[in-house]
Amino acid sequence: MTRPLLDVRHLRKVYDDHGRIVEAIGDLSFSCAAGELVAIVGPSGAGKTTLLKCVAGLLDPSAGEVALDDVRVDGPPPAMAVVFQEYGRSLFPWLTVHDNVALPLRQRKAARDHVRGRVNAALAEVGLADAAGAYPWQLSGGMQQRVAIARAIAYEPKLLLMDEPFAAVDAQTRADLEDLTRSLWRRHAVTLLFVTHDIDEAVYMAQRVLILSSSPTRVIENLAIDLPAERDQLATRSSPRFAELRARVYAQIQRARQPGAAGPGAGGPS
Amino acid sequence: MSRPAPRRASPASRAGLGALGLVGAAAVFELIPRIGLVSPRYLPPTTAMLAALGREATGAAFWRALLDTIHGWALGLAIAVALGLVLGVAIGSVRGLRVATASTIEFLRPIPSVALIPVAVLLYGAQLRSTLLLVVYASFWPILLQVIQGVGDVDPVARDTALAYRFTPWATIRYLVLPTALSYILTGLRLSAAVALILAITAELMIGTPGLGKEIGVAMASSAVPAMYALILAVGLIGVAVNVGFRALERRMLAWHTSVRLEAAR
Amino acid sequence: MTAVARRLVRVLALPAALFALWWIASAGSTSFYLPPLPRILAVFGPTWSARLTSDVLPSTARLLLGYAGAVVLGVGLGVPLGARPRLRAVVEPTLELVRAIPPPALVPVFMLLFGIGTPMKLLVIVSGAIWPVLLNTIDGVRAVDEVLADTCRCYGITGARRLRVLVLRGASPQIVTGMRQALSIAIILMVISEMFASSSGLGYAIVDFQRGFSIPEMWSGILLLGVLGFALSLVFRVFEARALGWYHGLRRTRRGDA
Repeated sequence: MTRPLLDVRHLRKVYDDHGRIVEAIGDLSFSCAAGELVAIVGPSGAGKTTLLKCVAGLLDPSAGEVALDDVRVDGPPPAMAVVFQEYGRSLFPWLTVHDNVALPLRQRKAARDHVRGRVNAALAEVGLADAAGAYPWQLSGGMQQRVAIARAIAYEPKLLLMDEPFAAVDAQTRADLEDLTRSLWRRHAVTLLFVTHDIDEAVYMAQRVLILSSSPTRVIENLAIDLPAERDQLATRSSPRFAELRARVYAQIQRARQPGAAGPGAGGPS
Repeated sequence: MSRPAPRRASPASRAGLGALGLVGAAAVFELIPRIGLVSPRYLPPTTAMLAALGREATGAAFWRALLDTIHGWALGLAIAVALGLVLGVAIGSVRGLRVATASTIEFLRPIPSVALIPVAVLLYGAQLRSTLLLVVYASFWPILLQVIQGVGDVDPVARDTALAYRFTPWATIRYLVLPTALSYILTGLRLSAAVALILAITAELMIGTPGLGKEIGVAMASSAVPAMYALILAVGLIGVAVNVGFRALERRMLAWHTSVRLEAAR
Repeated sequence: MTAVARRLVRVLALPAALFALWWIASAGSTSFYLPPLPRILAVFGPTWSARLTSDVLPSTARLLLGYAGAVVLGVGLGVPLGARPRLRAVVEPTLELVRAIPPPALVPVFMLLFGIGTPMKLLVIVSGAIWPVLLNTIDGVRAVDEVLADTCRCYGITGARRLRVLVLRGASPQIVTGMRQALSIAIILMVISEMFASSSGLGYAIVDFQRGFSIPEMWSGILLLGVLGFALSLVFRVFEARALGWYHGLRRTRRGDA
């Protein structure tokens, strides 16, 4: 078995919310191999976003640790990019689309032509080659999220985290963005970990689905999605295997919503 | 380094830190004249200033001057607010008026109120009306602009909702226009109150109308330096009281009318 | 009538009407203190062209210098205060107290400590004009969007770069608001600092006219102040439109959605 790229060991996160102790994450362990596409689902309030922020290094865990490429995560690691749900707030409104995508690259002091080439390539991949000179607020929600994705892609991270990235767009746009994300994932061989509350989306997109319990959060099940690698919105979603997998995830989450339901803390690729 | 979850400092600890800051500032101003960085004749140490303030507070002249200042401030503010409300509502409600007056307001507003000082001196001399001229002119603009903005800022969705539910004109004003405009009006009131105080003191200082500003000028002319600083400090304290008072009023009134809106929604 | 012409008419209609009213109302005036407008305009040219280099230009130069100082200090102090809540808590009550002292009341203090030359005048301007800039900068820096800040952390944008790219640009709408308010205050304080013990400047000239009962000249000075204030505010609006073009566009789209 190859060394995992991302290793989360006994992660625990406790908040102090005005004197009330909130155990957002109880004891969470899982790992992702390089190049995998893993989805995380769970009931609302299951601390999914907290988990993602801990993995991203934006929050310090109360116990346990996160390791990226065998290096302990203490603050956002350089080989990682994040796509947030609130696309409107994650893009700089005073920069054009081009400058938004270029910003993280300019940090690395690469040559200007090199940066421009990478930016144009990324924008072309997400279908926004024409919008390079526009401002984010001139674009629709779906397009803004695509800019955020282009920015992450141009950065060429090893690990790409997405926090409910398509929750705030309409269903049609969501379907397009799901397919776009999958094709980008395959083309760039990046490890993709994304959080969603949409069960259908998780099963449609991922190779593995991690099902979380409600607070205190643990991994209830690590479900392998054995759908074909070529996925299609119509065909895949109407296949019987899709329905089975979806039903299983749904059932697990329903059980997880019962108080006191906590599955085994197991993780690891099956 | 990861940033830990931000913890809000408790109000008690913030007050403590603030008190520390005040004490620190007082200490600095105590030391500077004492170690001779600046001559104590020009900058008395904090203790001397506070002592002078104590002395002033025991004299009747101080309180008379204080009352004069407050009188000019309150009267001028009242006139300015009345004018501002009336004109503001009129201009703000009619789109045509708003557009027509915009350029005039833009032209008149930057004219500094101090330009009127010589005029006031000529017309009214060192009397209350001089103070009023300056105070009303200067504090009229903030409240006017806020009222115009407030009246015109009704949320279009809310307005459509009111239409759909066939609100009577009175209900529209009561549940729609007034709550929206209220927060603007209260902000305008606070801004105008602060400006009014500044202009009242300025008028008293520069023209000599009765009040604390005049006393500051007298202290300066007679080289009563600690007393001068003490009076300036007193003016500062009044200003803080005005600011804090109006901010509290704003909070109280907005909390009240939020509950009124909740009732209307039910 | 074209759209531009119509807009021009709308903008100039009321001021022109008021101006005409002033002209007519005062034309027959025999009051000593309120001379007819034509007379004021007649003395405007000769009075101020004679005093251009001795009074008008030095005053304007002091105004701009003091204003620039207030902006630099206000932003320079406002950024660290906005970014560090504990520092802000320490400094806040002291700032509230100092801020509440009307700048004209501080003129005697400054005269005592710094004499009556140009440094005193500059200090007076800064002491009043700094507050809107400082307070608005603090507010703007505090309100930096959390998601944007997280984005910067993810992509390793820190330190001076973060200050430039995120904090200052994010706070710029607020800072510019403060700068606009500071401009009016700076003009007022420039005049006040010269109305006191001074021997040159616009404010001094106006007071001098008033003392010497040269009333039309005094009014022409007041008119000049108004023109100066208006001209500066126009220049500022041009600056604001260029610097905050993105912000106006953003608000327009947001308001369209609402």
